Amino acid sequence: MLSFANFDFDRPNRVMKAVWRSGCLLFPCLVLSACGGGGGGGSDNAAPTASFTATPSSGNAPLVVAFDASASTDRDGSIASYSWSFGDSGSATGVAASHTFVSGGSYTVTLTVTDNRGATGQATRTITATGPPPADVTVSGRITYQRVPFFNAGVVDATAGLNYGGTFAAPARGVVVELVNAASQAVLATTTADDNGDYAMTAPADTSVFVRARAQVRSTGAWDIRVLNNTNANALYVLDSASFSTGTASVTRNLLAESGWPGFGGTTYSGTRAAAPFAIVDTLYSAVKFVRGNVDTPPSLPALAVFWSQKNTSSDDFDPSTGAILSTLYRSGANDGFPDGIYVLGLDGNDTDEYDQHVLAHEFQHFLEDVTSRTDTPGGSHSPDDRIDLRLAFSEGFANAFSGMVLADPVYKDSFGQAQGDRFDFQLENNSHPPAGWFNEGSVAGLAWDLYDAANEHPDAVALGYGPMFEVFAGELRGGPALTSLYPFIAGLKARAGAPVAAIDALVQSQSVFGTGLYGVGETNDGSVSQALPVYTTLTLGGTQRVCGTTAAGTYNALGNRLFLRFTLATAQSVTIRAEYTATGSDPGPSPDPDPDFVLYRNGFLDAADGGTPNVEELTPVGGLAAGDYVIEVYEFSHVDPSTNAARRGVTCMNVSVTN
Amino acid sequence: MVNQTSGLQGCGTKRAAGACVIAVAACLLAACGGGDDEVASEAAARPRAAEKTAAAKEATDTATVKLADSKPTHLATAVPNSKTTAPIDLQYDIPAKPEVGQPFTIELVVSPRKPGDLLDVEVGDSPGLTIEGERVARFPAVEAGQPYVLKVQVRGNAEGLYYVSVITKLSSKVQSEGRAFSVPVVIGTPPAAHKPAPVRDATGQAIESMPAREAP
Repeated sequence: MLSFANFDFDRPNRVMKAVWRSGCLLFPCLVLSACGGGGGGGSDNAAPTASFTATPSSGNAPLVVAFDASASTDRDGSIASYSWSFGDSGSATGVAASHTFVSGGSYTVTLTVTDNRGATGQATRTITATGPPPADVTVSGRITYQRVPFFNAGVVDATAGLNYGGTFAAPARGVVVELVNAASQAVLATTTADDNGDYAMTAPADTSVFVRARAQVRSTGAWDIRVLNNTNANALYVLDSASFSTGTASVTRNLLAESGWPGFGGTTYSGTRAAAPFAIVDTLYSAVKFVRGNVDTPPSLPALAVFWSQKNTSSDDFDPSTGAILSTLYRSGANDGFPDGIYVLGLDGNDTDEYDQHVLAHEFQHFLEDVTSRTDTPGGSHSPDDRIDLRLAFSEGFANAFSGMVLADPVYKDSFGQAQGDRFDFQLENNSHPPAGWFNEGSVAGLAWDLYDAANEHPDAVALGYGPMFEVFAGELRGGPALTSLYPFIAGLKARAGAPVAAIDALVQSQSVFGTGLYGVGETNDGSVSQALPVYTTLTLGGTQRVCGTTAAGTYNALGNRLFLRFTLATAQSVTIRAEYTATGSDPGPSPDPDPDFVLYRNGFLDAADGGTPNVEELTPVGGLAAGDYVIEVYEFSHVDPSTNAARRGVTCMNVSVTN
Repeated sequence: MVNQTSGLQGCGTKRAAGACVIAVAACLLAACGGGDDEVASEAAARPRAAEKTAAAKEATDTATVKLADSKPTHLATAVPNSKTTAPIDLQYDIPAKPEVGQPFTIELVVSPRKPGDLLDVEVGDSPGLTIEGERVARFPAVEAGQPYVLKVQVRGNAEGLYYVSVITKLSSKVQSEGRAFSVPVVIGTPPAAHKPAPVRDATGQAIESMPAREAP
């Protein structure tokens, strides 16, 4: 026996508090019809029986069919409503209906009847219309997103952040566009927008669909870039239209991804920031097109994932699931459970980079460098004002220049602050961040830009374009014996047939870079860190060289932290490499203990000896070393210890030797 | 010494290095370049280096996590790795564990890596935090590598992880450069966040659907 005595009809959530009685959960039985027939009826309410006739049930298209549901019954009540679905996106209500099946095909007609107490019953019949299938229709339109430009974009101006008043609709070039069946979610058609953002797809007529633009650009075997939300299970951002029927004629649907900014006078984002992923992918698409348009043999790039979330912020930990991403950065191979790719800041009012095209193009160059070339950089924090490791200076400086090349804009701009109203910027055309030199990313950026650009102003009389640069990256830098730095880059450019060697040299020297060849031989600019020269110390088999590290310019990745030696083996042989602390009169000793470490390179990383043993480190590579050119990177560990509060030694010298 | 102009507690002038104990920001991983890749790829082949790095990172992370235990000598470093930025570093300390409704202090130590005529610092709250008192501080004639300290009074409004925004600007006669930081603050003991399963399309790809504005 069922009881309804305690049910409060004004508070349907009370159903959750129903008690189990007589083997049946009381109110779910009432509400969910678990004990009854059709959905919606009470446990003592029998579901109605749906029944209908169709006249005729087959014939030539266009086929007019009369439907009659008067035979439907409800044994304990009455039929309250009739609902028809004709299987071709058409529908009707009422006990009787008529419908024209315009095109040939087999259609499943569904009648749903509802009784006076809410229970339902269904019946179906198949109608066969003979004739041509429904003509396909064209669904076309344009995909755009709101781009927010900078104020005063053409000059260096730290007060000129994003100009929301200048927001304009930009084409979502190259994005993947889908036509999705609204009922089944099946993708009915896929295409890519052209460079105007225009798309066109063929779709079945009379079908309920919506248009979906994916924050993804791809070309099979060439590139595939997607923007994902790292704080939402790495979900792909998609822009959806409302559902509509394709009907029987062409349909136009134009989709705009809005920025979410409230308009004039706004101070924070207030709506869905739908434009952000499309702005990001569009800048990276520019980078792809730039590379492919400027090199003889465009590379086939692996898939690139880009992670953006409006929660992404520069906190001091890396946990993308919460939005903690350190900074906008590119990473790969970290093997820490977080996927490879470009991570992009998104926190409104602090630092969000979706409209900072230089920043995005900069990171794309790191991706490109990773997959088509090689980098030996130690990474780390850096600015154009710092004196840093030559590998870092080159990798970051060239990425800055690359961003200017892609955007045809030599003013690097990175917005931040309240309402993104400020910006960090600098001019590539002339490096204004002293001291200039091979250790300064501003110098590298300025040089790379001047080597590239068509403008000739003293001392820039060079206009190489990007093609030779890419060739050097994919050639000499990728497989060369020297560490990846400005020196082999310049040497590679000068080695190109017809290269204007004298003009290149003049330009290089204008940035106070005087060393030549792969190893910067003859460099005289020490950046006021005397220990940093020579750039490479030459080591001979059986000999010993003394080098000294210092934190005078900073730690971890600063000029002078790591010293470089090179040696050549004429024949394959077994050798032992040794780095040993050697005291000097100026050495501050004794805390922490000196801890020499070193890394061995042969056309990239080969081996390392970097344990915690004080005073000495030694390595005898298993199987010996092949004939060839080698580089040793040696450092005292406290100089490069990434721990923020590590105790540091002062100038610390080490004797380095290679013996057989 | 209190910066009377801003109302924020600060050194006003540089604090003695021994008192503020600043180590210029070093880096746990690589920069925005392939550096991450470099560190990571070397880690497998260089276990001893990895161990040392891990130990160093743990030390830094401990300073971040154990907020109540951290002291000025264990300041956490904000943004150890970054895109190309202005030459400004930030470290911070939260001496007492923040609780809902209770005021607490965040000590910020800003270190420019080059000199400047002015160093401006502006802090901003988030929905779960309220900055109490002044939000801006100004330090004149700053020196490279020196720490400039200010204490920010904050009140937590609700349990959770929130961020205090710190905007810094270093200006000279010829140039102005700025950098943004976020200082994470955990208020109370928030329960583990439960995230709903993402929506997936017909192919199984997780998607985040955003509505389009449509026009004829």
